[in-house]
Amino acid sequence: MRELKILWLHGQGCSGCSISVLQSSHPSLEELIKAPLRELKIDISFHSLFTPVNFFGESEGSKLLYELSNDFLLVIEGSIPTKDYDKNLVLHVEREEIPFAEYIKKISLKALAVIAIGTCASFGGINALDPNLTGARGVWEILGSEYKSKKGLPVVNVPGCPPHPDWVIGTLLDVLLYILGMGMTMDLDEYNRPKRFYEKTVHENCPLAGFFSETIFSKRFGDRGCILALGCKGPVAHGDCVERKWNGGVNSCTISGSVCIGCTEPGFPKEFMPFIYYPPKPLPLIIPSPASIIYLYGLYERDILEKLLKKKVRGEEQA
Amino acid sequence: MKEIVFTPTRIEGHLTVKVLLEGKKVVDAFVSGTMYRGIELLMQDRTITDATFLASRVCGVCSLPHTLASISAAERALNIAPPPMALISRNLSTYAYLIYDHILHCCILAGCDYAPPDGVIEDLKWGEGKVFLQGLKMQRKALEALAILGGKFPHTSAIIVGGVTTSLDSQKLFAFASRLDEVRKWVMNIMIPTFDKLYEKYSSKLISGEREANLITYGVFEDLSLDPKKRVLKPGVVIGGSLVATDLFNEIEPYIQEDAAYTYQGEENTSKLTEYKKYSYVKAPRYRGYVMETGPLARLWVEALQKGKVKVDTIEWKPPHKPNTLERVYARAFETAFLCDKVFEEIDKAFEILKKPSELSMWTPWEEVKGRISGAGLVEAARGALGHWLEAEGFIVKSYRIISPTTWNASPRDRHGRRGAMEEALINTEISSDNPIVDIARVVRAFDPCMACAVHVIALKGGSREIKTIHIND
Repeated sequence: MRELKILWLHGQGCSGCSISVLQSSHPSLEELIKAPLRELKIDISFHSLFTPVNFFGESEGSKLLYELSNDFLLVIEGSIPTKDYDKNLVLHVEREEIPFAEYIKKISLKALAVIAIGTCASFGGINALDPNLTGARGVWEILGSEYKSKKGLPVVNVPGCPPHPDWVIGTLLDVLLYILGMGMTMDLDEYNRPKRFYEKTVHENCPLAGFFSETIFSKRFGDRGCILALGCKGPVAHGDCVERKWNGGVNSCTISGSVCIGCTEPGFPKEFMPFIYYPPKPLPLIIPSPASIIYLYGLYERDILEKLLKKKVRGEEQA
Repeated sequence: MKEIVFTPTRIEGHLTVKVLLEGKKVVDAFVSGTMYRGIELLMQDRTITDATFLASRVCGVCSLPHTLASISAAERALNIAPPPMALISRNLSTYAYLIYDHILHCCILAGCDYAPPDGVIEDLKWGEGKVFLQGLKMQRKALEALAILGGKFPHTSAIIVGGVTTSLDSQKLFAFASRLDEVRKWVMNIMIPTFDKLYEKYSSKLISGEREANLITYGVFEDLSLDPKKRVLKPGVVIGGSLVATDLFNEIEPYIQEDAAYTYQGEENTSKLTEYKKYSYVKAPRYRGYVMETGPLARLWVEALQKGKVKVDTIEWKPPHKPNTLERVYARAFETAFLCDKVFEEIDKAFEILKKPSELSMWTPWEEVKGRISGAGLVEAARGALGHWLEAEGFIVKSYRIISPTTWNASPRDRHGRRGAMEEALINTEISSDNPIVDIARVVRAFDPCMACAVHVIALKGGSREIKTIHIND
C-alpha cells in the first residue's frame, strides 16, 4: 500500500473549503479514512477540523511541524497575511513565535507538493479585497512564481469559494499519482488550476445558456431566462461546477436561479462586483438584439475582465 | 502555579487557550482569537447586495445564518417584506443548516472527546465509531436538503435581498422532506441514545465548565408576520436562571454593548486603553454589563421558561441548576432531535401556501433609496445568537458590524476585568485525566467555538475608516 501524509494548514479563512470537502460523496471522507483506494491511502495527518488529535502539535503527524523531515503533501486553506498587525496568525512552534508566511516558506521547501485550496489560498480572495488591511496574499505570491516543490511541481491552485469537493479530492489524488510516478503530468492552466476542472466557463456548462442563445433574459429573479442581465458572471468564470452540481448533485448557483459571482477567478471578489445588477443592466436588453450582438457583448465583457485580471496577477508577480 | 498554553483542534479557526493551574484546579483562563481578516471594514463602500454575499464568507461552517443576518439587516433598512413562501424557504434552509451543524459538532468534532482513549463511548470513536461514520453521512444528507433550496452549501447563492431565487413546489418539498426524514430517524434511533448514554456515564464525573445561568438568544425561524415574538424558538435573556427580557428590538438589542479594552486593533479611543494587556482579536460584547453565554442551551432554556416544557416524543428537557460542560453537550444533541421534529411543521406550512397559487411569489423587488438607512439582522447560528448591523448611504454600505455567537462565548475580559463566558467556565475545572488538556479542551469544545466568525474589531488604530460603535453604555 502506498500512503501519503497530508499536512493541511489553515491561514486566514473561514473553513468553508474544509466543510465543502466533508460534503464529498464519492469517495466520501469516511471511505477515504477507512479504506485505501486501489492501494492508495491519503492520511490527513494534521487538519485542524478533521483530526483525532486534541491540539496543534500532538500527534505523530503534526511532529512534521517541528521536524520538517518526513515526506508530506502541504495543503493550505486560507490566505496568508503579510502586514504586521499585532499578533495576526503567529504560530507558536516550540515556544518560538513564527509568522505564518515565514513558516510556509520554510516548510514548503520540504513538501513533495504544495496545493492551495480555495480562492483565498490561491489568489488572496475575499481577504485581499481593497484596502487589503492585512496584506492577504495567495500561496504562490508568497512562495514566488519560480517555486517548485521537491517533486518539481509548482503551487497547484484549486480555487473556488468554496471549491467543489470533487475538484479538491480529484486534485489531491492526481498529485498523489504524479508523485508516486503512477500518473500523467499535471495539466495546469495559466493560473495553475488543473485544466480538467477549470477549462470550461460556467456559462459553457450552464443549463440556462439555451435562453442566452434565444436572447431570453430575466429582468427579475425567478423569471424564466438567462440571468446575465441580473449580474451573472458565468461567461468569465471558469469551473465545471454547474455541470457537476453541488451537495450530492442536487443544485448549483445558476440552476437555483441566482447569479454566478465568479468565485474561481483571480481578482475575485473585487473585479466581479457588483455581484447583482439590480435594476438589471440595460445594455444588451434595450436594443431588440439578435443573439450575435448579445454574444459580442458577452465577449466584450469577458475581454475587459480578462485584461484586468491578467494585469493584476502579472503585476503582483513582478512586484 | 503551572501554566498551560495550547491551540485546540476540532474547532473552527484559530483559538489559543491559556490556563493557570493550582494543583489540579484551573484558577485563571485566557481565551484568544489569533487570526484577523477585517471583514467588517471590507464591507464598507460596497453595495448592500454585495455585502450580503461577502457576509456569507465570514464563516464557512455557519455561512447560512451570516447570509440571513445580513439580508435581514438589509431588508429592515430598506423596509422590504419578503413574500411568505420565501420566508418559509429560508426557515426550511435554517432547519437543515442547524441539523447539519449540530451533527457535525456532536458526532465529528467534539464527540471523540468522550470516546476511547480518553473516554468511554465507543460509538463516538474518531474514524471508527458507528456514530462518527454515520454522522458524516447524515450531515451530508441535511446539506443536500438545504442545497435543494439554497443552491449550494457552504456559501448558499439562492438567498438574496427581497426573498429567494428558487421557487418551491411539491417535488422540491418532498425531496427536502425525504432527506430530513432519513436524518430524523437516525437522530432519534442512533444519535440520541448515544448521547443519553454519554449523559448517564458522565453525569457524576463531568461537572466542569460551570458558570452562572446568564444566557442570550435572539430566537429563530421567522414568523410570516415578521414579529420576533412569534418565532418558533423565542428570543429571550436569562439572568441568574430567570427570564428577564423577551422583546427583541426593545428589550434586548438596545442594551447590547461592546468593549475592546483587551482586543488588538480594537476601539477608537486607543490612547485611553493602553494600560490593558491586549490578548485577543475577539471583542467583548455585554448585555447590560452582564457576561452572556449563547447556544443551544440558551435557546432551550428560554423555550422552557416561556412554554413550560420542551419535549420531543417522550423525552423532556428541563433546565439544569446551572450551565456546565455536560449540559452544553447534551443540549446540542437534544436540540438536534427537537429540530428534526419541528421541521415537519414548517413543511406543512409550505404545503398550505402551495394551495394558493397567487401567493407563490418568491421575491419582492425593491426600490432605490436615498439618504441614510440602517438595520439590524438578529438570527441564530448553531452556536448561538448572531447579529449584523448595517448603516448605508442610499445603497452603499457605510458601516457594518457583526457580533457572532463565539464573540459572546469566547470574549476576552472587558474594561471592568469581567472574564468572557468560556473563561468563566474554565475556572474551577478539575483536572481528572493524566493529560490536563483533555479536560480543558472538553470545556472549550462544548461551546462549539467558531473563531473565524468571532473575530471582529471596531476600528483600526489610526485608520482613516472610522466606524462608530453601536453602544458602549459605560
